[in-house]
Amino acid sequence: MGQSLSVRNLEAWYGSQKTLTGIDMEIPSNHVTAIIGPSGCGKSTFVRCLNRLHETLPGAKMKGEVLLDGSNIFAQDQVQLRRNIGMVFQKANPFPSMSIFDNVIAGLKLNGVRNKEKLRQIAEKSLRMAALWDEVSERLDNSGMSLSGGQQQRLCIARALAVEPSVLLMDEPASALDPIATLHIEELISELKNQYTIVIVTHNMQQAARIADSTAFFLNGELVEHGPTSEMFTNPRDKRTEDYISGRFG
Amino acid sequence: MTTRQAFDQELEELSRKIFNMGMMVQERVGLAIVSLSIQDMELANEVITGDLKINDLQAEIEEKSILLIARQQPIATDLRKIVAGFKIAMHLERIGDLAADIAKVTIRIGNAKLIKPLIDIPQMGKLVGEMIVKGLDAYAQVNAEKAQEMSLIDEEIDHLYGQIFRELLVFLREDSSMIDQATYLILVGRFLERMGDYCTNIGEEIVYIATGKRTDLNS
Amino acid sequence: MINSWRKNWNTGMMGVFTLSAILSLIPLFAVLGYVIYNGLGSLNWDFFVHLPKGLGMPGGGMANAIVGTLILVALASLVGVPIGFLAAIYLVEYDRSSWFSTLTRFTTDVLTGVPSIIIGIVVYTAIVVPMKHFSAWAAGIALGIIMIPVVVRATEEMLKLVPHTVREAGLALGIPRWRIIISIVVPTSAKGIITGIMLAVARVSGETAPLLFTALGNRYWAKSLNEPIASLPVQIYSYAVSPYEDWHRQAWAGALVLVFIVVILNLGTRYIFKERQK
Repeated sequence: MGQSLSVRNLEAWYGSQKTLTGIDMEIPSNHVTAIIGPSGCGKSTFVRCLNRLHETLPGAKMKGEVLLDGSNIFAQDQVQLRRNIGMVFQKANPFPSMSIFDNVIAGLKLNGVRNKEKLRQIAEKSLRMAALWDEVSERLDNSGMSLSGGQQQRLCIARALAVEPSVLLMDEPASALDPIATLHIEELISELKNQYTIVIVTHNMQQAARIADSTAFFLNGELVEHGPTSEMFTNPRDKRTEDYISGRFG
Repeated sequence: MTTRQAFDQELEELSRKIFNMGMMVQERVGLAIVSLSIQDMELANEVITGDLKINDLQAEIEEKSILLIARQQPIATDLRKIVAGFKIAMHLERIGDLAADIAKVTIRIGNAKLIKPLIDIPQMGKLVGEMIVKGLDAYAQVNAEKAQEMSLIDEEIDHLYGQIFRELLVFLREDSSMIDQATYLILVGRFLERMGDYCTNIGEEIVYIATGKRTDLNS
Repeated sequence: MINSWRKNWNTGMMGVFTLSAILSLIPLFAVLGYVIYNGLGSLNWDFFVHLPKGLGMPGGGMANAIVGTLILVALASLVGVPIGFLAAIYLVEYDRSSWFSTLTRFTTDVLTGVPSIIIGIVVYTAIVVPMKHFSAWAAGIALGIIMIPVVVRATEEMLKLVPHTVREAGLALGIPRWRIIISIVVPTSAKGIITGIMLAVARVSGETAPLLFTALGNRYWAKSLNEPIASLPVQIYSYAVSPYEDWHRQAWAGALVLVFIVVILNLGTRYIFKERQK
């Protein structure tokens, strides 16, 4: 089941530039939260802070409190944390030197899980959850790069799910895909939220409107507004939100 | 310059169409009342045939709104403007229908002598005209306060209708040969009272555009 | 009008480029041609199996030199490849920008340009003199030192080609960094790295100068790695400057064998990797 995230006064820097200013936010469990905002507003940075990936960039810093189901993410080992909070990236990035099967179980095998039967079962389960099993079950040994863009992205989702995280972070997962592939991913997300907590960064307003339970609007590193999607898109409280979502700037 | 100039222009045009429809309806109401007061059949017929034009306008506005939604994916205030505008056009169309109904009464009464000179009915008509103008003003400025003031006028209209009703009932009791005309005049009063209600509905839509909240101005 | 002028100019430039390409191939084919022409005739079974005969005596072979070269290349790889490979991993995966890594990269580049004879002399002073004798070890170390910068550079470039998104994917899965490097990044760039190592090996198998100061040469089989050892480049050299016709012919044969070894190594690795890709 999904876990919730609690963010208090999160700040982030890249070099000397402050990219996030004091973010306070609650991310409920088994819920899809969309993060929207113009380019450079800090939405990707925010999401990368949640699984402490931001820190891995040279010159990057983060400060503040982030609680995963009550426990401080800074008190945990980074590697362990990232097994609880998975991530899917904008451009599908399957491991080039591995087959489809190896890609899916990479997170388990490279962390010491050896039982072949268990790996096979988890691979099938994850591929089914990612709605990819039917398309690849006959060719699991083919290279991960032999799939189409949409399939590769679903492969990455399966790979992330195989590790059995409780939260799934998605950084513009469909922006490199065609409309049909995008709709597949969106449907997938709607199903996944029953088991996971999902945070999705998107620049596509209609996508956020379609799949998110709540939406948060970021601007210049600041969280401007955060609320149920239906309210946000029919009657936003802040004028900046209104201007952005109706396309009047950005 | 905003990033959605074409869309903004289309929204402008839609608003202008609704505004023009409102002005047209207001004119028709006035003419209908005049036709009744001076018992002018020709004028009454003009009002009746003119209603077709109003219906056409409403259809145009409806179609344009749907196209705008399909093509531009409006959201928040833009969406409220379009949906509420659509409903305002609908209410205006009904007011137009009622104006035509008043003209039809003029024709029914024909050249028969009026049982009493019309005072309250034209007053009601004037108030309805005022409400429409105030409403169009509030619509153009998206002003919720002005929209809410409309309900004050509606109260007066309701009050006048009560007066007419009682007066005509007295007439009916005293002289049953006047039953036809009296009934027609009560109907006209009813039509005008309903016009007032529709205007209040229009006011509610304007408040919705401005604030995103639904209110009930009729009570 | 302008169009045909441009067309002519285009064709002209194409001609210049093509000609340059052909010209650049000529030295390669000339060398190969000469070596094959002169060496093929002298290749025989004896050459591969027998030791050199005494001064002026006809016959004999370069068996010990061939084996010696193979041994030296193996030793050099033992020294050069691990150090070069691991250093490159450090420079790319752990430390791309500190003063230390800048210094390392700089010295590596400098080392590529140092004449190999100097490396030979340095190893002579540092190892041969204290040990009081020439040895295969010393030669292996010298050749290894020559290999290091080549391996570092090639490996570094190939590792850098692996997109950062691949590493991030690994990190996001909660895989420790070292595991990501070993099981994901390196296999992804393996083909290029191996090619780079092979280039280093090819370079080093033909080095003669450092061997003069470290391995020296041996008329017989070396019985241990602590002894001087024969090698093809040195043997070719000493035969070529000798006054004996027979030795000249054997020198050509030796050159052919040396070229052949390098070609086999190169083609062999490419072939192995093509198979793995499938």
